[in-house]
Amino acid sequence: MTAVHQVLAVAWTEFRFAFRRGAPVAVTILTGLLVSAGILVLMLESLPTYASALTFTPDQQARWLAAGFTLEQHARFVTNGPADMLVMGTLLGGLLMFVALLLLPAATISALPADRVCGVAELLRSTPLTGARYLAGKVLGVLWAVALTGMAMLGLFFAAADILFFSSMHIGLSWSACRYYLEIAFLDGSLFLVWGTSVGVLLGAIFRTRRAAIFPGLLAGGFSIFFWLTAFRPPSTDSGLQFTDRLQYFLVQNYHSIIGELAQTGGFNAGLFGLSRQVEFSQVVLMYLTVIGVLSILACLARLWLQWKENF
Amino acid sequence: MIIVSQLTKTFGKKVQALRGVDLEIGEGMFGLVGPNGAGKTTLMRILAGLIRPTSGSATVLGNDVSTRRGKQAVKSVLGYLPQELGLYPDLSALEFLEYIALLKGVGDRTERNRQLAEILELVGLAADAQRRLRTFSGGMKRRVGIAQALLGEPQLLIVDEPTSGLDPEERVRLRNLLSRMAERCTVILSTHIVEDISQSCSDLAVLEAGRVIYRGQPAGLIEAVRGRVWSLTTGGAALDPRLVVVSTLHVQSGVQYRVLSAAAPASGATPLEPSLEDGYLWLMQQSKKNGDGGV
Repeated sequence: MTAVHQVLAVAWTEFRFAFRRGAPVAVTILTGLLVSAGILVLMLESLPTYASALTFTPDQQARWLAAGFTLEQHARFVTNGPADMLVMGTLLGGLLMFVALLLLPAATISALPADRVCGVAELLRSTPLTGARYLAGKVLGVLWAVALTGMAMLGLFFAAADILFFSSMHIGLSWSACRYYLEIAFLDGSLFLVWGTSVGVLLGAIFRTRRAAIFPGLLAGGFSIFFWLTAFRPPSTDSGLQFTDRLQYFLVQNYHSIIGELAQTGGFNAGLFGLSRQVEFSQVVLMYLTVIGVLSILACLARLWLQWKENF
Repeated sequence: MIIVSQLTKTFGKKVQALRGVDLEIGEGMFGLVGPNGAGKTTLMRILAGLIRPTSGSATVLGNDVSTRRGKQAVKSVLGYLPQELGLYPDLSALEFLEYIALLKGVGDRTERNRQLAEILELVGLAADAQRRLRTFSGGMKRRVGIAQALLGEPQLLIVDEPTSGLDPEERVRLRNLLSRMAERCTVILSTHIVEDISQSCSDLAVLEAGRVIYRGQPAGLIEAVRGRVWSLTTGGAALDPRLVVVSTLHVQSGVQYRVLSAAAPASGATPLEPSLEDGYLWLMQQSKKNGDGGV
């Protein structure tokens, strides 16, 4: 029970500092804004074209039916089509998540050096707190702040998308698109945040001052992107998605899109939307395990460093 | 009981902070005195399990601090005030103390609140508990340091230079507080201010250049210098440079010195009642004369 209290106490204190010091929260906000803007701007480009297609003249209806589509499909297309296009925009907008990988390590790397700069580190080491619990608390605290900010940004994105849809077409974001975004945020986006945050905090174990840690933090960010692209490139490269990660690819594959359905009916191979190759679930699990494994190794190294250098 | 045996600590290849220290420390208040760089802080940090000794052993309340288990056991009964105390400036005193209480394993909220209220009252910070630490004076920060050390009802209290930077009133208050704490736990007080020791410790060790050069009661140190403390007034003439001058006072008839000397330094010198400070300075001088740090 003491261990839980200690970890939570460190986490709660670090959570407050993450907001007061600002860097981790600022980077998460920046990433959220970039990703949201990236998706919405792409959507804005397509909206006028889409809005004009909503006018369904008798002539157009005849051609629609002649092509093998049904009126029920058209009704669903009117409701879900914009959301589908928004989701497609995610593929490119999602690339901006790499900003989190690049900047989060530098933003969170001062969590441990800050205790040394304040002069509190020795005091903390004089308590029964172990190095492992200290590290766990620090990582959890910063993650907590970053996740909370990320969720706020997701809410902001939903609000902006809904306003955009209502103002141009008088329909809201469909539930299937909302679910997709929730999935991609929690399953995919959170993985970026966990990686960027944990790498930063753990790497901070070896630096005595914040200033000394910033540049290595940026290097770690660059390395993170390199690692991500090397380790998590999706199996299919014919769709030009070689820069996205395996999980995003998996989520898009499983998104039940009306556009995908229409494309299939029309005999067009859409590539991604469940019509050509499937990503196996086991590969996504492997991706998660890889991230957990690498972070665990980093945590062990940080723990050993504290033990060796500070008898912590 | 704390037992230190042949303890050495070397930083890098050249700096030898401790050179075979042997000590036994019982209950009550124990003073560790010595000049800056004598090795006091290093010894304290080893006893607190913060750094590893290079060789020798240190056993605190039956736990060997060089083992991981022993170190954790010591920390669970330890209250520690480091020489350079750092606090989180953005937290209030109460938030900071609550944080430390949780780290010390005071998980029960009722018990934690009881201890916090009692200790804040004890150190005279109850009225300022909600204030941010950045607004605290040096003395108040020191009291926060003492408060955090007292949390968790420690069996061993290690305080390193607790009175440095405090005004006289704060120093007296802190000494009294430590004396009260010594009634229920072992207190090790490290300082280079001899007056702190003379007012509060019944047992002490003097450390110089990493060695213990005196171990015993303050009275023993005072007795060692009895008959060697003199008052001497000159009309401005220079003193023999071999004399140890304890104090200098300008008076109407000239300059009045308090000096240490094995024999009367001059005709007209009058013997004085020795103090602990006299004993300490005499000891230091003898140690330097002998050159090996032993007296």
